[in-house]
Amino acid sequence: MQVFPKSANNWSRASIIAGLFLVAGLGWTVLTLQRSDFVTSANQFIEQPVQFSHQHHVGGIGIDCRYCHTAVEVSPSAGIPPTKTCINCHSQIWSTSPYLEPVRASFREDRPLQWIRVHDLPDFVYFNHSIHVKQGVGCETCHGRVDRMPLMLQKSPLQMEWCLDCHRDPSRYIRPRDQITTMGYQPAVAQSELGPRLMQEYNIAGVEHMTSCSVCHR
Amino acid sequence: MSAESLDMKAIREKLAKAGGPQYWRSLDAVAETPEFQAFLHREFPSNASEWSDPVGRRSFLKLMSASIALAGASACTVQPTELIVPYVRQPEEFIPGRPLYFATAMTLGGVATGLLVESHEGRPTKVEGNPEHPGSLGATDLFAQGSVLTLYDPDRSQSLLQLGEIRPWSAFVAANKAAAQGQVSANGAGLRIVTETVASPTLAAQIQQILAQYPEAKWIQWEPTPRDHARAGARMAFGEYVEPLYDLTKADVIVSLDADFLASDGPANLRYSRQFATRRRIEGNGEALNRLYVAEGVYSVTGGKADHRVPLKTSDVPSVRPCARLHASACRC
Repeated sequence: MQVFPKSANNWSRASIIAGLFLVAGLGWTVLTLQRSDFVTSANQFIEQPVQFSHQHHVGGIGIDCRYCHTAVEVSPSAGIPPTKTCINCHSQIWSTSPYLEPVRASFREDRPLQWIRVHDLPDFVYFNHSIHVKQGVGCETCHGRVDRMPLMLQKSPLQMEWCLDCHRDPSRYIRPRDQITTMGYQPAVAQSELGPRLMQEYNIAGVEHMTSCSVCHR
Repeated sequence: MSAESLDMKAIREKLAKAGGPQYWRSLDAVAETPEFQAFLHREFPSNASEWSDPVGRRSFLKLMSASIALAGASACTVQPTELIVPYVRQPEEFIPGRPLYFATAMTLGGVATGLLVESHEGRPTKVEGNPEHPGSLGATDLFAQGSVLTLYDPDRSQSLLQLGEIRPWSAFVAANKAAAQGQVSANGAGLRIVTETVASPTLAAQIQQILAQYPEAKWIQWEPTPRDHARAGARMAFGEYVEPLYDLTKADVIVSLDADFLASDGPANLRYSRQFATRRRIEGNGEALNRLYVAEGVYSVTGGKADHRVPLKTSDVPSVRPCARLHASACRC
């Protein structure tokens, strides 16, 4: 006696194809999720102890990045300014603003402000700001249009894929050294022509070195 | 293994019967007490922490393999929130993310060696030699390298303690003052100051002031490994206490009699090592290589670097008559 009806043949064929789609779909879901802002924590506003606006200070007033992030050209860390840097101006202007009370309290009581880190690389990668700045990677290239951010947020996914994208061919991104802190930079000549020229001028290492594991995983 | 449990009479009888040289490490070993036998054959002393849980090998493997399998899943967490805590007023020379280097000195056996200390945000992390200091020439010994760990020693007291209770500094000053007052009438007869070798003129002068105030008091300087014999020898040779300083760059032949001058013997060993090494380079300076003869009773770094090493009992080392340009074997006089 036949256990399966004749239609079982069609069902089994269909389920093989459906199974393939299911596996592919699952893979796609995992990979998409892995690159999503939910996992990379990109594009998420983080509330800080002081609602400091880069939009106002950079875009509005036009303060250079290096006025506060003083160490960016000489140190692995760009540096977060000490309270004293805020007080330089804010002892004169907005000196009674309630928004700035945590800053004044910090200065008064000699207690540091505790900012929440926005760009948090894993501890097993080494990153050095100074070399990137020196070789013509602009602030904007990784940090985005900071002059349009009322609250600081992470613009890039900061995943290894993203790092390697540039390390494999930096000529697509680098700019002249005097344009490092410029926001909304537009190359004067075509990037396809400027990039390779700057690569040569700045003596940037080849792709073999730049993509070597131990460059970042020290 | 208390002394009361030992039968001294039995031990004496046993030793009297035994002929030839006998070696033992403790009286318990001679007496062959049951406690000693147990101690000898047990890997861990009793009361040491032991895993006497009845979990068998199978369940242990099951648990551990599950743990290892799940360890990978721990990577699937969101990174914890990190804080950035900048200075309120940043020190002038400080650059965030970069260490600062401070020149300092460390005394050992009364001799200071110049050091450079790497400091991250006020926390010292690494000690290196100061290239401009004549005793270091950029090198450090293991004591200087290890000294940074003493700063982070968890046993190091974080505050002033008396009988395990945290006390303010003023309590110490008051107690010290009371004790000093008590010594005034006795002229300091009950006062002893124990220090390591003091090479600081300021500290020595301050201690001398105390001694002048309390004539009966005594100042004792103590080192676990003193250089008293070297000092006494120098006095025999030169008639006064002197510290010999060798210039090994000028020596073609070096004879070391039980002196580990390259590693552990004396304060200038870092300098000597550098000087010794400059005369061992084949290329460059055009000078002949030096030759090192060592007669010693134990293995040492200097003996390891020697071109000719004669193992000798330490008591026989003084009888060695060094004769330059002869082979080491001929030097056994």
